[in-house]
Amino acid sequence: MKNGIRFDPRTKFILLLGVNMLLLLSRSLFLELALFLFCIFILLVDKRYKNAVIYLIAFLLMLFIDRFLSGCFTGFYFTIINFIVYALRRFMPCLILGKWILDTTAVSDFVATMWKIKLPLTVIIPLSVVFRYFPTIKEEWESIRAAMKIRGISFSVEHVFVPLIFSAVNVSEELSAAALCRGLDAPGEHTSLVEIKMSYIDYLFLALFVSITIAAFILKGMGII
Amino acid sequence: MIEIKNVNFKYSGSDIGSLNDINLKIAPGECVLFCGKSGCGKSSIIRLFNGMIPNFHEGELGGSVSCNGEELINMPLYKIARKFGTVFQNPRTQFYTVNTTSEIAFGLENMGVAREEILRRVAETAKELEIEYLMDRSIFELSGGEKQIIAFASVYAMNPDVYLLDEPSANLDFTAIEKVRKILKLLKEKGKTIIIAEHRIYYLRDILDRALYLEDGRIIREYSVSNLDKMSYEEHEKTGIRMLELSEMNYTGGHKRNNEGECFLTYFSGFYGKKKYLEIAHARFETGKIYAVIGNNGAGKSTFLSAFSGVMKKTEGFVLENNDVLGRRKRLKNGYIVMQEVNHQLFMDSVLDEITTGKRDIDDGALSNLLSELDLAGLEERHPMTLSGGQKQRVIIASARYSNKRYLFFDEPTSGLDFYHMIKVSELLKSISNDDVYIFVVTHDYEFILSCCDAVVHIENGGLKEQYELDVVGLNRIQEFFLINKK
Amino acid sequence: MSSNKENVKKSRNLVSAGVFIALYFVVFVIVGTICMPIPPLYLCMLPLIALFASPVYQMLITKAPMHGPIFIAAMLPCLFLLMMGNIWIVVLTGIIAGVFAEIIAGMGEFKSASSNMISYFVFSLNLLGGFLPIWVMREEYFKSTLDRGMSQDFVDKLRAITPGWVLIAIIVATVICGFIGIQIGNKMFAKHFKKAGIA
Repeated sequence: MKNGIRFDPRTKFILLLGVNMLLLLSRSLFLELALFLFCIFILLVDKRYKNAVIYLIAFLLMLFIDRFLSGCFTGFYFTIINFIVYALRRFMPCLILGKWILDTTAVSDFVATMWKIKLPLTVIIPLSVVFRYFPTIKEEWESIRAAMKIRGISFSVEHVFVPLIFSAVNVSEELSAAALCRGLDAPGEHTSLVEIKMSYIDYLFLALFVSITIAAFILKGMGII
Repeated sequence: MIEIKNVNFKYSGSDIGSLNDINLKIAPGECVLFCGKSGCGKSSIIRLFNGMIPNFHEGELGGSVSCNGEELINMPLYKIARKFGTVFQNPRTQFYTVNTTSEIAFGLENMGVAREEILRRVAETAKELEIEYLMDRSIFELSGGEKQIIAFASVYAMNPDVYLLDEPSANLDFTAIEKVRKILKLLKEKGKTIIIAEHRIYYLRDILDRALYLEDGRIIREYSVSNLDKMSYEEHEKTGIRMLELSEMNYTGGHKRNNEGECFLTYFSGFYGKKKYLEIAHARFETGKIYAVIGNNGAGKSTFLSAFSGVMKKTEGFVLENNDVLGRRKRLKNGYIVMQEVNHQLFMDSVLDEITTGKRDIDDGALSNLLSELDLAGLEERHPMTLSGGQKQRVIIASARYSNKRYLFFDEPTSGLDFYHMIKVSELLKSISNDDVYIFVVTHDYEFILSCCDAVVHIENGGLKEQYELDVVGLNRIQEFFLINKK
Repeated sequence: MSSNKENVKKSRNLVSAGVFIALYFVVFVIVGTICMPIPPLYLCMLPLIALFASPVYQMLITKAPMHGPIFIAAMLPCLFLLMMGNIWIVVLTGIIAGVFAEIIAGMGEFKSASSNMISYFVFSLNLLGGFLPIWVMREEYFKSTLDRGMSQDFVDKLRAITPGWVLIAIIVATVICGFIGIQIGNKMFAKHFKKAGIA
C-alpha cells in the first residue's frame, strides 16, 4: 500500500462495478481472459506481485479443471464441483478487484471519499461509525464470552444479544457525545486530512476499461464473442 | 472569564435536581477541580460547560452560563466546541475514527480547517505532546492510556481556550496518569483554563489552583491545595476526596485471619494460540489473604487472571490445592472474575435471577443474608442494567458468593471510585476474605492496596517478578513501584 | 434553540444507527461464514439472518427512527458481496429491499409495530440477488458444457437439484423466519430493554 500507486477510491469502485457488469455480457473465454488480465495488470501496477501470481495460478488451475479434466472425469459429483469451479473462475476478476479495494482503501480514505462526493450526513455518519465499531464488537464479544464461561451462562440468543445490545447503546451514547464535543454537527464546509484526487493513473485505467467495454460490445455485435 | 449564575438543572425523568443554585467564576488560566462522591453533580457541571446540558442531556435548565460575556446556553454545540474541548472518562468509547492521525484531525475537519493547516496542526500536536511514535496507527492496538493521550491530542489540535476533563484518569494505570500529568502541565504553562471533575487528585498537585466540593448538586465548600494537603483520613472518608499526597496513606490491611487453605502454581503457563504469554515457575497463595496483582501495562496481569481462573483455553503446568490438581474445568467451576467492564457480565432481567443464575432451588436464608451484606436488599426485582456501577459490581460479587466460588479475581474494582466508595469496596473484600476463599485483585490503585491488601503479586514480562507480604519491607517495595517518596 | 437540539438529536441518532448497522452486518457475516461453504445451508442463509437479526433491526429503528439507516443497513452486505465477487444484481435487490423497507417503516413513522414488522420482512430479502448467480450461471454453464459435448443427462441432474421454485421457497422461509425473529425480539424488548428503560 505504501509503495504502490494510489488509486482514487472512486476509480476503484467504478472499475469494480464496471467489470462486474461487463462480465455478464458474454460467456466467451476471450472476454473473460481480457478482464482477468486487466485486473492482474492493475495489481502489477500497484506492485502487488505476490497476489497477482497467486491469482494467475488459481485461474489457470481452474481453467485446466474445466477444459481438460472434464474430458477425463464424468459423474455427478464432478459435475457439481466443476460447476462451482466454473462459477468461481467466471467471477474471479470481481473477486480480485474486491480484495484489492479492501486491502488498499483505508477507512479514512473511504470516509474522505464520501465527503468528497458530497454524500448526505445521513450516510456518512452511520458508515464511518460502522467501521469504527466493528473492532469494538470483537472486543466486547470476547469479554462477554469470557463472562459467560466464568458464570456458567448457557449459550442462547438472549444471552448473546442482551449484553451486546446494552453495550452498543452505551457506546453509541458516549461516542456521539465525544464526537459532538468536537463539532460533529457543524454545518458548513467539511475538510479532510486525506486528499482525494484523480490522477493520471486513474484516467489511464478508466480509459483502458472503457476501450475494453467498447471493443467487447463491437465484437458482440459482430457475433464474434 | 467563565461565569455560572444561578444555575439549576434537573435531568428529564428525574425528580431531584442534579445542579442546584450553582454560582461561580473561573478566571482564564485557572485550574479548577470539581470533586465529591459519585452522583454529586460534578459531571453535570462539565456537561454544562460543553453544552451537552441542555442539548444532549435534556432537562429543565435555569440560570446562565457565560464565557467572556457570551451566553453559552443557547449556543450550538459546534460553536462551543471551538472554545471548550472535552476529554471524557472512557478511552474506549470516545474516539470516532480508527486511525490515530485521523482522530487528531477529526475536530479540525469538522471545523472546515484547510488541509494544509490540518497537516500542520496535527504534526505540531504530535510534536508538542511527544506522541510521534503513536501517529498513523490503528487506535485499536493502543493501550487504554495511549488511547486517552490520543483523546487529549485530538482536543489539543483544535486549540480550545478551555479544557474540560471528566474523570480522565478513571481507567488509567499510573504510568498513563504520569503522561496525563505532563500534558496538563503543558496546558497550564500555555495559560489554558482547565476544568476537571475527578476523584483521583494526586497527579494534579502542581497544576491545581483550587477545588470545589459538591454534594447533592450544590457547591458546599472550596479547598485550596494546602487545605487538601491537610485533610485528615476521616475527612477523606467523609468527603470521598482521594489523597493529594499518596504517601500520606496509612496501611490498614494485613489483618490476621484464621484460614488454612493454600494453593500452588507450579510451572504454570498460559497460551493464546501457540504463543506463550505467561509463565510462572512457582507460586504459593493462601486463603483469607487479599493479593494485589500489580505490574505495568501489558505485563500479563490479565493473562494471569484468565489463565488462573480457567477462562484461557490452553494452559500447561499445575494448579494444586490440598494435593488436588485443579484442571481447567475445576478452576472454571471454582473461579470467578469480576471484570472491570461490569456491563458485560450481566445477563438476566432481575437482580435476583442474576445472583442465583436462574436456579430454582433458592436458599432464602443465605440469599437474604447475602443481599443485606452487600447492600442490595430491596433491589431484587430491578433490572441489573438500571443499577449504578457500584451496585452492578456488588450484584456480580453476590452471584459469585451465592455459587460458592472460592477463587475470586477482581479486575480494577476501584477504578473511577471516590475515596468513600473505594473504602467500601476494600471493607467488602476484607469481610469476604474471612471465609475460605482466595482473593486476587488486579489494581493500579495505591490507596486501595494500602487499605486492604495483604500481599503483592508483581507480574512483569509475562512472569512472576516477585511476590511479597505487605510488611514493612513490602510497603517500601510497593511505594517504590508506585514511585512514591516516603516522607 | 430547538433547531439546535434537533441537530444534536439527529447526529446522535445517526451514530446509534452506525453502531446497530455494524451489529447487523456482524450477524450477516457470522451466519454467512457458517452457511456459505455448505451448499444446502447456503440456501438457508437469508431465513437464518432474518431469524437472528431481528432484535438488532428493532433496536436500529428504535434508536434511529428516521429515513436512511434502514437503507444503509440493507445495502452494506450487498456491497460486501459485490466485493467478494458476486454479481451486481445483488446491489439492485439491496436497493429495492432497502427503499421499500424504509417506506413501509416510515408509513408507521417508525413506531408502529406492524409496519416495522412488514418492513423487516422486506428488508430481509436484501440479499436475494446474491442467489441469482446460481441460476444465471447454471444456464451459462449448461450451454458451455453442452458446447463441449457433455451429455444432456448431467445437465438434467444439475437442473433437478437447483429448481426455480427454490427461490420462492427462500422468500417464504425468510418471511416466516422473520416473523419468528420479531416475536423473539419482542420478548427480549419486553423482558430487558423496556424494563431497563433503553427502548
